Amino acid sequence: MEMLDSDHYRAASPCVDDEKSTSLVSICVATYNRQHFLDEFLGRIAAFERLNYELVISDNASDDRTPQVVHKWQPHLRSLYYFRQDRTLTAPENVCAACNAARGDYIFNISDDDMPIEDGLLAAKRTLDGDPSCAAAYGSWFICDDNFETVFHCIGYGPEPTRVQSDQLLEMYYRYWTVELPMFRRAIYQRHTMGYSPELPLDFHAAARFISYGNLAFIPDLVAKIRSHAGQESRELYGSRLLDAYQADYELFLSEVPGLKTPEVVAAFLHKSIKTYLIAVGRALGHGKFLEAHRMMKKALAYRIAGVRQMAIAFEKAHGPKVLAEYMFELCRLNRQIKRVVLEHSIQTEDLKPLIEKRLGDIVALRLVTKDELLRLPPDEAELVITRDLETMERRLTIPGANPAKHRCLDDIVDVCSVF
Amino acid sequence: MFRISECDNCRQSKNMSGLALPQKSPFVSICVSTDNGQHSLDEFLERLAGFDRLDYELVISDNALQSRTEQVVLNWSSYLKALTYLRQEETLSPPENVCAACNAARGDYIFHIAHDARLIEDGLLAAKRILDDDQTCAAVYGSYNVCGHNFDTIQHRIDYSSVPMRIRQGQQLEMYRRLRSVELPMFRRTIYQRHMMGHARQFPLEFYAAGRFLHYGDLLFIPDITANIRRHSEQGSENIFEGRMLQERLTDYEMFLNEVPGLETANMIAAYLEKCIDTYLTAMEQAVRHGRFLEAHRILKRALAYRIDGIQSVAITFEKNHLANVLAAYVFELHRLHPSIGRIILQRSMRADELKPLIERKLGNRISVLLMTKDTLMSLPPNESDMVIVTDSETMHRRLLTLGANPAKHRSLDDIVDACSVF
Repeated sequence: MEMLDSDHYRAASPCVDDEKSTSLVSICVATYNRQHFLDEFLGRIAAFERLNYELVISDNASDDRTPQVVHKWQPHLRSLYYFRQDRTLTAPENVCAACNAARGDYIFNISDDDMPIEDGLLAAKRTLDGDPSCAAAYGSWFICDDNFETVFHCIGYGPEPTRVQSDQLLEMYYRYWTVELPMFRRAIYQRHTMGYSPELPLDFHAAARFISYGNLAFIPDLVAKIRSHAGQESRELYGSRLLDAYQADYELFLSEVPGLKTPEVVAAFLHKSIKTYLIAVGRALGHGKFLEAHRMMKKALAYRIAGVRQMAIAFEKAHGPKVLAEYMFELCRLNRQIKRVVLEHSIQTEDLKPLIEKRLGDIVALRLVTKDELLRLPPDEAELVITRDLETMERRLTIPGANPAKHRCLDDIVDVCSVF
Repeated sequence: MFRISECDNCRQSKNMSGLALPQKSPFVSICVSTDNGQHSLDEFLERLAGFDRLDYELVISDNALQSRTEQVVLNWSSYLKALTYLRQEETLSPPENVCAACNAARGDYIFHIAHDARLIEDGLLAAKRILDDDQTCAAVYGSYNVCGHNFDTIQHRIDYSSVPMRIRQGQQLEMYRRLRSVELPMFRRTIYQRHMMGHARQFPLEFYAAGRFLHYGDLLFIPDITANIRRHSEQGSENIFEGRMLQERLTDYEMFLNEVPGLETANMIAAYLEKCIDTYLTAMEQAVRHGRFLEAHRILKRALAYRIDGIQSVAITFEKNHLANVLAAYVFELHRLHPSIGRIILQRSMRADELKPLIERKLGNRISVLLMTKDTLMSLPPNESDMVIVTDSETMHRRLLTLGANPAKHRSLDDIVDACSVF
């Protein structure tokens, strides 16, 4: 099959959409090694009959069949600009690359695994066409399962179209958890935003930049269905890089709001930050990352804000044993010489046993022994011994050859795994 | 792999089963997490092999990378007093690897250090002596020197105090405010292994760890030098302008403050912000030092968001000294994100004249930067491999309208200056 050039542009003849508008939407897509998602995505775009669009694809030096997939769909796309990076950029940089290369009147950036909805895009475009004072239009969107069959969440900004003016920025920030998937004027993006920003996908900071050049429209029309699947970095909010990107977004947004005083900035930042930590707790739990969840909860607790303590109590009640099991697993993971965890028998360890076994999997065995047995058991470097209390641990360490690095006591572990 | 080497007079040779070490006196676990740094590890081990007074075991966690690390360790094993060598089966994150080393320690005290640093035996002995003699002391922080790559120059000395200084429970906030960082402690192994989340990503041990130590005893800051630290650009501590590193710092402050009893929200926030802004400004300076002007710009904007006295003047100075570099970095990024750009064409102006050499320096020989007058520019036919930067938006619009050029390959310098301003 013929390959596309690394920088390939195929322009369509000027098109008038069914609303007699000649304005052009650049649908910008950053892609990397996701030929199957991209294939599906391009098939959907190829079926668009009314929207006047160009598709801009920045291929992040994929080493799969991405160029062939694009080539396959090229004849069916109204207008295509495909270019390939020489070397792999970060994901936000690749989004910037696509948006920087757009030549339409408006930009709509979307991920290659999502489903843009033509009716919604037409509604957003109509809003921008009809009002030059509007800088960006935010449609609603759904978060769906892998096959777009089940809708997990509807992200909407209200049943009626709403306008946000420059003096309502802070109100918007408090009202909406997120402001994503805008269709915005290309000129504002390319002229007035720092294209390199790692805060992409465009969020509050971008909204503040847009509002410096016009108002924002929030419309009820559905512009996209977003696929939720494992491996999306956006789901790993507990990761340091992503968490920092969120917090940077809040700060950069607040730096753009005129007339704020320090206490207002701090209150606004914490409002979103703590909520972000709590959402990160939920995401970490969803991914079975109990120590990450524990860490996020402690970060949220640090501020002594009303309500967080109750959540922490509920967290500990619901997930405390899993945190313990995860802690023990980590001890083994960081020292692969350990082949067996020997746990002193107690009511608590009896309850914990299935959880720990599940977490340890097949690599490390778990054995429950009585205190007497434990005190007679000869030291073995392949064992991690967890006694019930400190006294027993200290007694066991008097056995010649017992390695203190391979001994822990459950009381200590429970204490260290508590969020309080 | 696990191995205990030939030991000195207080420990005996052990086989692979790793029997416990008979002890006459307390000893220090020097914990080192290593990855691919075989040359610096070789130097490190050579130096350690020369220690004849400190009673120690060396614990190395080798991060499963392809290198000669294991061979280097074996070469030195017979010269070291006691050695535990762990080779990971899969690559861990650097903080996890640090935890792996500290978790495997069996000494009375732990001293964790990077393998590219230089230990000072006298300082370690001074720290150990304090822990030996004072059971109420949980950790001892010696001073250290930050040196050039070959340890031939001392760039600065991290000195906590000219005389020994003791911090007790109740004084942790005072310590947090007074000291910029609290690093390189020698601490009781049992506190670490029993009472700390070994998985913590706040390594190197900082405020959060100090807060945990304080639960179980006092902290002592001593003027004795325990190590010379090599400064190089790959160090995490040299790259705190990167999101992940910055977030780790901020997490450290939060986790520390979470442990301070009786702190109310307002005081907590004040303490957090104080360090947070200080960290942003340090990150900004580091970014400038590394020539990462867009990162510096971004972090300064984050600091400015809080409208705290003094930051505005820092920002004015930044803009005065570095705006041209920020602009050049911005133009460079435009090129970097679009591989098909072969030339950058700047409309001649005083600012463009000033920018040209800076942009050229960033671009190297990869693409050419041309200066053109407005008239030449208005008659230059569009070319997809050109990025055209005119002086103002009016000229840009005229060029786009007259020549039907690609708007994505056009910018105006006025707009770029505006986007690159921190205000």
